[in-house]
Amino acid sequence: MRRYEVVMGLEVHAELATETKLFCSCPAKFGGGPNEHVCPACSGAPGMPAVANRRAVELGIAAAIVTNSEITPVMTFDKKNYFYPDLPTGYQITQITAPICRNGRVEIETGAGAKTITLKQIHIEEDAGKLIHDARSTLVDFNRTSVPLVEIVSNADFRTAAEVVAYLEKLRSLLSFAGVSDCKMQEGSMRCDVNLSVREVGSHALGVRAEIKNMNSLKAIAAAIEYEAQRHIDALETGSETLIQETRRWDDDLGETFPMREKENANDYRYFPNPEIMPIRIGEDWIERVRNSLPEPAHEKYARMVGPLGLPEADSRIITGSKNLSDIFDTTTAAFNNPKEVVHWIVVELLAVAKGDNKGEDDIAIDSGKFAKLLELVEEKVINRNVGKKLLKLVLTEGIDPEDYVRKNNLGLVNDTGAIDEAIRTVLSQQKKSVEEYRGGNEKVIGFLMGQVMRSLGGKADPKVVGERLSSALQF
Amino acid sequence: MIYIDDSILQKGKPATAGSKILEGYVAPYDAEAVTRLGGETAQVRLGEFGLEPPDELPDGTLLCNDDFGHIRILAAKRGLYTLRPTYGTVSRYGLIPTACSMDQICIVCGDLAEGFSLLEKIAGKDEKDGAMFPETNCRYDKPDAPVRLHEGALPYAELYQSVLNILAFAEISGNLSRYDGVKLGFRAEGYTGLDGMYIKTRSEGFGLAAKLAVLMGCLVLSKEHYDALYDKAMRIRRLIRESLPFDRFDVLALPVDNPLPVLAGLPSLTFGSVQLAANVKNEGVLLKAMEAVL
Repeated sequence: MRRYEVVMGLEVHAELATETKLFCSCPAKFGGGPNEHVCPACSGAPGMPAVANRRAVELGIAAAIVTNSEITPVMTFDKKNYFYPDLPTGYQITQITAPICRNGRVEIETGAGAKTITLKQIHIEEDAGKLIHDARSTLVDFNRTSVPLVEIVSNADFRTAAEVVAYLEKLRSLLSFAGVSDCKMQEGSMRCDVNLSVREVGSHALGVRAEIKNMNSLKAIAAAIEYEAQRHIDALETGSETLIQETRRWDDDLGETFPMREKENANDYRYFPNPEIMPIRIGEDWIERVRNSLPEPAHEKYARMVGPLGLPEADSRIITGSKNLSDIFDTTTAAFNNPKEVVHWIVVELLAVAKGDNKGEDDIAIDSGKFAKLLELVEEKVINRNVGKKLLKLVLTEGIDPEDYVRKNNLGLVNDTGAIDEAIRTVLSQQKKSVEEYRGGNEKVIGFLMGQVMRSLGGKADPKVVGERLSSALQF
Repeated sequence: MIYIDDSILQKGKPATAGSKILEGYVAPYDAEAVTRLGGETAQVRLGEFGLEPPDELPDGTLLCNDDFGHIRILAAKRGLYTLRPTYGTVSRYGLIPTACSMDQICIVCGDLAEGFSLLEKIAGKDEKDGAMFPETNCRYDKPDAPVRLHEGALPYAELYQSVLNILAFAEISGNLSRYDGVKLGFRAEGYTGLDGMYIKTRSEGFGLAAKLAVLMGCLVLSKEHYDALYDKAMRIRRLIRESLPFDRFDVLALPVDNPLPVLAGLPSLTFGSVQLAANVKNEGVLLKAMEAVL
């Protein structure tokens, strides 16, 4: 039997985290009503010269640095020409001749060990708009047009879906920690096209290549690769179909790929240098400034957490797996200097509350000042942990001020031992049967009695104090 | 009265660049040159995207874009000067683009002093145009030194027009792609499907010269011809720029229809059958030379 090898290269698009678009001052943020983030320049009206966004170039430099790429000393922009209603000018401004950088390297780790993925180049380009189809007509929304992207083009170094997933996770970590992009696949701020071909093991020639598009999660990417590789192998084995070089669309519901319209496959884009935009010189001093301004990358933060801070490895891995959690950790620790408690509250409590609210780790938006205040209230025993957990949910979903809330709702711990003893007396007189059981040797019932006392105190007493006083009350 | 080519946007007024394809389009803002000019202006519609000669010129000073020279040639016949500043001198914010590497607002005028003072008013760096010289204030004084005039043949002169056509048509083919009937200007009626809308709109909206320019532009940029035509023309333009004898001469005397200044981004001044060109940012010497020639 013949043995096959899958050969893949990736084109990853990541939206740059700039305030404004690539060639005009419209906001680049996600959302907004149709055509709200639009001006004559990014909606294709004639007369506005394209002026390159310096911040986008800077983020491109950051992307080059974290992928160990060689930065082009003088980069230029080109025009890629094609007609489509979501492309208002009839050309996309991109980089072909002198992209921002070339020859990068990204280290990945899979079950099969460590591997280096090499990059052909990274280029900066503008996004296209969105078409909205209904039964009678098609509408265009230009909010996304001219939003800056980097396209990261790898060499054909991938052999397994696991390598592809590990690479995308690594890229997401590198780019999000460097502030280049928030890399949210679901919102489309990170997208990946896979170029895939299959050949016999030992062969050096590449097989017929298919480009697979339209996967919007890591799961979909892995599934699309498995499907497409099998399709190629079946074709080679059985001759059931003749493979052609084409672009295919992944259908996540059906779990299959389909050829895209032929027209989208055969295009001469007539690239040429954009004479509107002067070449941009990227000197060593500029690169150094960007390098020095880069925030701590994930692996360094991890080392700091498990090293000097002495935090558990598993928790530190969860925190540094997400730029957002890392930011929450940093800002909360800055206000409440007990990293161990902060990590515990993020990993155990905050993630659970967010999950209940249907939010992933990157979607959690919490005021870390309020979060820190909450942890302080728990540490100072103004409230107990259970009340703290309830308040955390309110801080996250309603943005309450924990200190105010505790005062207004009288949630502070009952520290008055007289009141606690009174509650214990009442419970013991009501639960005579349980008290007898306890005194008869069944010590487990103390848990039940404890719960009753806490309930009658509205959950606002320190359980340790209540436990001690309950035990001694039961001795008599 | 100062007349403004309607390819230079004036807020609230039609902006057609002389083409049916922009029918119904009203400028949403003022071009930078219009803002700097201030005061009362009138509007005039000239040949389509500067590719066709205009039927007539207005009786007065005119601001226009003139990559193909049709306007300066007609102006010369009418006894008017055309002052073309160095490429990158006047902001192109609000100028409907034709060939971006050549587009530059020119001044047609009956009086040289008036033309130069107008230029000083509108010239100078504008952050909204990314391909300009950094100077914010431009003054054009006549130099004291005598002008060294070059009157002989120049290298590559026989290639000027072909190189200009190749590069300008390539750039026009890109810049005219936005006129697709989707968002603004003219949209044909009675089409079928998206491609039908594109084809019918552009067939009816563009005149012959614009269609030929777009077709030629697509041809020179196609995979088959890019190296032999577009890329070669880019190289020759560089050679042309490098071969200019400004180390020994201040002003080149050229025929009025010579495309060298447009191609190489040089300032030029035309009158009658004469075109004088100077090195970049040397407009002042043109004034002195023209006075000497006349």
